[in-house]
Amino acid sequence: MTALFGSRVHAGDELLDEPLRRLRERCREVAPDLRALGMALDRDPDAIVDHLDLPAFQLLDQVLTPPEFQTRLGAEPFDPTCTALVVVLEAISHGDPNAVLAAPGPSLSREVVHELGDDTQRAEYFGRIADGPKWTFFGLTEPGKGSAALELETRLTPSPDGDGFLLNGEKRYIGNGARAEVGVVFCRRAPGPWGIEAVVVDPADPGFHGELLPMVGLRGARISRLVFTDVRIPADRVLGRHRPPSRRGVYGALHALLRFRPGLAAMALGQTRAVCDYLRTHRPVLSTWDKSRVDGLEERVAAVLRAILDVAGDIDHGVVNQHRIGAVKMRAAQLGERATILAAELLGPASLIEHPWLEKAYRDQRAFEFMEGTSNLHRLSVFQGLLKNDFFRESEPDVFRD
Amino acid sequence: MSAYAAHLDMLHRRTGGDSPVVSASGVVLGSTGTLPDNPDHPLARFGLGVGRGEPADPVVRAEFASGLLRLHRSLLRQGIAHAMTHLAERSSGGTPLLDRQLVQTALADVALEIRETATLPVTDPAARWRAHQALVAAGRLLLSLLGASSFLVSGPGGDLHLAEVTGNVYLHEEAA
Repeated sequence: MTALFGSRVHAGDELLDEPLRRLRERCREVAPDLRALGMALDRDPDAIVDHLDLPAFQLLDQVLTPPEFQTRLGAEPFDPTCTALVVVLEAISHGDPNAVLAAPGPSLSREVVHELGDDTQRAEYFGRIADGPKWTFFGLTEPGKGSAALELETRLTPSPDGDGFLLNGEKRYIGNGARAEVGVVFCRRAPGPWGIEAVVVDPADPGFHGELLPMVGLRGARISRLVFTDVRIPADRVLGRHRPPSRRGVYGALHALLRFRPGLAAMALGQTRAVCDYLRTHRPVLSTWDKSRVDGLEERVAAVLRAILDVAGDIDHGVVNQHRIGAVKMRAAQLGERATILAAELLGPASLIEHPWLEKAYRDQRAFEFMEGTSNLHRLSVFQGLLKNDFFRESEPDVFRD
Repeated sequence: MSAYAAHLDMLHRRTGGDSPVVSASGVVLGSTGTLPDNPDHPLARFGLGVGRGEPADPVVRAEFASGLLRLHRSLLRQGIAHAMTHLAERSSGGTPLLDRQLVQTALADVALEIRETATLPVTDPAARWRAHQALVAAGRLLLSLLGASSFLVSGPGGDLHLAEVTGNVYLHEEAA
């Protein structure tokens, strides 16, 4: 038998500057508080309301809210770049990703409102969120079309009385949808890609219906079904009304998704790293063969963490390569499933009964497979990147070219 | 009650008679109707009850384990049927997802695994555990085609989770 040596998943240090390393340390200090909360959220997702004073939520608020609208500043403010988002979400998700997804704040809608909204819309949206804990949603996915933004069918039609628009349709698998106080819905105003709009929706308005869906795991996300029946949308709630159609609706959806996707990958990886650590704690000695399997897993975790930081750094420098971004999310999700299945095996018979936290992580990790696009979609995107000669970096070694 | 839990109860009755078959670890799984004493367990939400007892006779456990593999394969066949219907109704770029080669080959891989594991000589615990692991991999492949609907408790993803947990309790223990 061979002792299982220390974790190899602290990779990527060289990609972080000193403030980001300090930020990661702060997150790692507060993340353990979330372990018990994650178990509580698995039993009752609404239990989040009793735990919002935990320091982790302050850090999440800082990284998810634009600086000018932050009200819960921490001891050390930081620039909420994509790299910071990745650092915070990875470290906090080591505690529990359910807590991240259950947290109040602008979440995924941040990017679309911040990018598309005019000054008034931004002030109203983020001001409303800052006024006490508020949950939000990002309504893109539809029952028959998934998250294919170009094919969505939810309709935005002029109101017969000439006052704004009416929203009709259905969204499914929307995080926090049934519990939110405000959110963004993508809908079709006219045919074609530029006929899609992003509108701010208030769930208190007549015609809005939201219900929680019974999901296998990651229950903190409070994945929901939303139905809109003649929900009135005032004209000033159409985001980006001051921009040309090609720079609002679909543009806003893709803008937000691509910038948040590394964060989702980081969440999956944070919990995967926690699974590796849990395995090491509860099974400190392994056979040579099993140690090799765990070492191989941790090497992959380190590689994917590095790749996530890499694409996040690119985004911060204005390089948004959807093929590489999708690839890291896909690989992080696959690693999570591999890690939980391996841990359940190595922890022995009935491990999924005797280790309730592992059983929860085992379920949670399956969500990352489909969130922000399935692995099959990202595989196809990688192929498109190959076709366009846009997947490998120019700087990546190629002995035949070099 | 979940379809899987109901079939699990039937398997208990066929192999264990009046008392549910307890695994070597002492854990026993059945429907919440059969095992109602732990209503707060996370799996009770899925219709799966968890109990403890004296391990059943090894011969009974082996018969039960083989039955679990058959049940898992049936679940996957149902999953394929569900996926064929679901993917025929969904379209992307004007094409039903079922017409995509990547989808078709993935469904074929699941079907191949179901047939192949049915012919494996699973006469010892280690072979049964390997067959279970292969079915878990096939199930995950199937679920990857279903997107977010794979994560609904009421869909194939809910019952497949129960099959994975049940294998973790009854098939893994035999290989240990």
